[in-house]
Amino acid sequence: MNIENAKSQMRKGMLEYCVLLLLEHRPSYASDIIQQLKNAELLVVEGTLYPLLTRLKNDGLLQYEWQESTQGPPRKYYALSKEGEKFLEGLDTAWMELSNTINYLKNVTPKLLESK
Amino acid sequence: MKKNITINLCGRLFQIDEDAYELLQQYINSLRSSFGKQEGGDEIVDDIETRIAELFEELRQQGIEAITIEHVKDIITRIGKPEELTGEEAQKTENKGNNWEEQARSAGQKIYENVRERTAGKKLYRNPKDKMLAGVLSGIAVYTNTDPIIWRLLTVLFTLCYGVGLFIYIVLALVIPEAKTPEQLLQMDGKDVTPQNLADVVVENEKQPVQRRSLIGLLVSFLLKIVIGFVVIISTIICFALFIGFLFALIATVCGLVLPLNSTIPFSLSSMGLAGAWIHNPKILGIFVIAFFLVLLIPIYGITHMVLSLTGKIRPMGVAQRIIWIILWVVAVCTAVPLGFTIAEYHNEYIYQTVVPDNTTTYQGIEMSRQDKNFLRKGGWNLIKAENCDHYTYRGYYKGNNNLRFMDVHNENCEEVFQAERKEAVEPGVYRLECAVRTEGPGPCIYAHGDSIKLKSMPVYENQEGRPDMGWVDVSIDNIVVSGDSIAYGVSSVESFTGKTCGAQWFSATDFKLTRTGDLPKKK
Repeated sequence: MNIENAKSQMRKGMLEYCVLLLLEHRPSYASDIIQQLKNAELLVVEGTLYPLLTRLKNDGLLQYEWQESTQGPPRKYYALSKEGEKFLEGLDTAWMELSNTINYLKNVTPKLLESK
Repeated sequence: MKKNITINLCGRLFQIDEDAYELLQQYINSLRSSFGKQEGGDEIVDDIETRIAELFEELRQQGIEAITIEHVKDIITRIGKPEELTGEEAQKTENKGNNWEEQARSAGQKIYENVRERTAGKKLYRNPKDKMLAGVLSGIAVYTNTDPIIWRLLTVLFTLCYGVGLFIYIVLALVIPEAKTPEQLLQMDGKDVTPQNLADVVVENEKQPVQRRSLIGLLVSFLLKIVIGFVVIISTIICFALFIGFLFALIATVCGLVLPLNSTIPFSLSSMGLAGAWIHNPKILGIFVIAFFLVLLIPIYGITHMVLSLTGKIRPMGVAQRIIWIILWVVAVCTAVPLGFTIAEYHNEYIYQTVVPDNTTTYQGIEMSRQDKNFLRKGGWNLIKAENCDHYTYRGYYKGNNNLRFMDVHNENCEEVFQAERKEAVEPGVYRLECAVRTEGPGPCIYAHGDSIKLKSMPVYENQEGRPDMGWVDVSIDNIVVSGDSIAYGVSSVESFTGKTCGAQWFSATDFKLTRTGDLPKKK
């Protein structure tokens, strides 16, 4: 299994959480989100974002409103719904746990092995 | 110079090259068809369209007036191909089903979709871009979206099993056409035949020879050409031979039907060994002839077609057509071969009966059962005299074999008057006649008629129950001098011939054997 594949699997898993994080404090439209995700090297092809946004919206985690744009067509600005905020809290906790677990495994494993 | 059109994308106008427009159109259509199944699919595609409009707008701001195909290609790689986008969502929606039945169903569905997706829109061709022999396996690999090495290994493996793999390979190589035109190459890869794609293939093909013309490549292609040329020549010869065979068979069939049945002219039914079948079962003969002609004609047609298509005069046959011809040929062979054996059997029967069989029950003017008649006719026995006989043959109690039929005459009151004789053409010399006989009472004799008649009485059967030989005794007549060219021998209970009164209720004889024991005694 090559490293790129593993990385992309990780990114895919994280994508949902990252999108919700980005929308936590200010509403954004798709291209904004794409730009930020690209900066964070989380997105390889832009198109994957659209099905994700639509799904989150249909699940009631996101809501959007149309805004006119000076340059280009009108934009959909996405924001977290109440439900989305709760969902994000849940993900936050999960992430903390996950991150702790990873750290624990990274630091503790060698000592554990030595003690045996 | 390129034709340019204006499109309206999300309420904004853009100048775009025609080929770029076609590519874009196709991209959006394929997105629609792959997202169309899932919930909110149209919305997703609309959003993507908006994104494309935005990207076009960005280009315009950079001072680009007309959007070219290169721009569209960049955008497509940026946003991603339909399969890259749908794959992800499909994975996520899958875990919804908890019920294992549902999971099993969705697993089945997944396999089905997997197979369909892999072969979707593709046509099976031999792949000229990556081939070791004829490109069959890499063609299959492209079709099923798998690695050719799997198929190659499988083929090698099966070739080790009595060459099955090689055989299948050759059949497939003949059945599957090679992708030659850019159009076929696109169909092989499952791409749509669009001007853009065609152009890509042409460009790629132009690059190809530069990359792959190594010395080995040249050598291999040279060898391949020699092999192909060789195949063409051989096929032409085979085709020609088959054609001649076909003509002869046709002439023979026509002549055979016209000529009288028992003529000895070549091409008559009897000289070809078909008379028996003609008499016994004309239907079988008809089916055999049709199957036989198909066996000849199909290869003629196939080889001619192949040679013509190799020289580029006509289009090669489609896969389905080839399969149909091959199946038809196999069926014809499987019909003709067993029928051939049946016909050979009929012929043997015909030869041994020498005359047209009939259903009457008289033999040489004497009324008897059909078995008796067939036996006497088969043995070539001439009835000199046959009076008061209940039957002429019998079955059983000979050498432990109850199925052997032998000559056997019977009359309750010992009144049978019977003499049967067989003639054989021989060279002059001294002969010995041997046979097995049994008789219930005195009188019956065997005899040999060379230069003179030699008689020998049959030893009387001693009625001892449980005798393993059932009363059979081997008898012989020695020193039969034959100076002519034939000898006659047989059995007789005729008093005027044997000089003995017949006192036997029955007598039997079989296994007559004539051997030459010496030359004629020299005359002094």
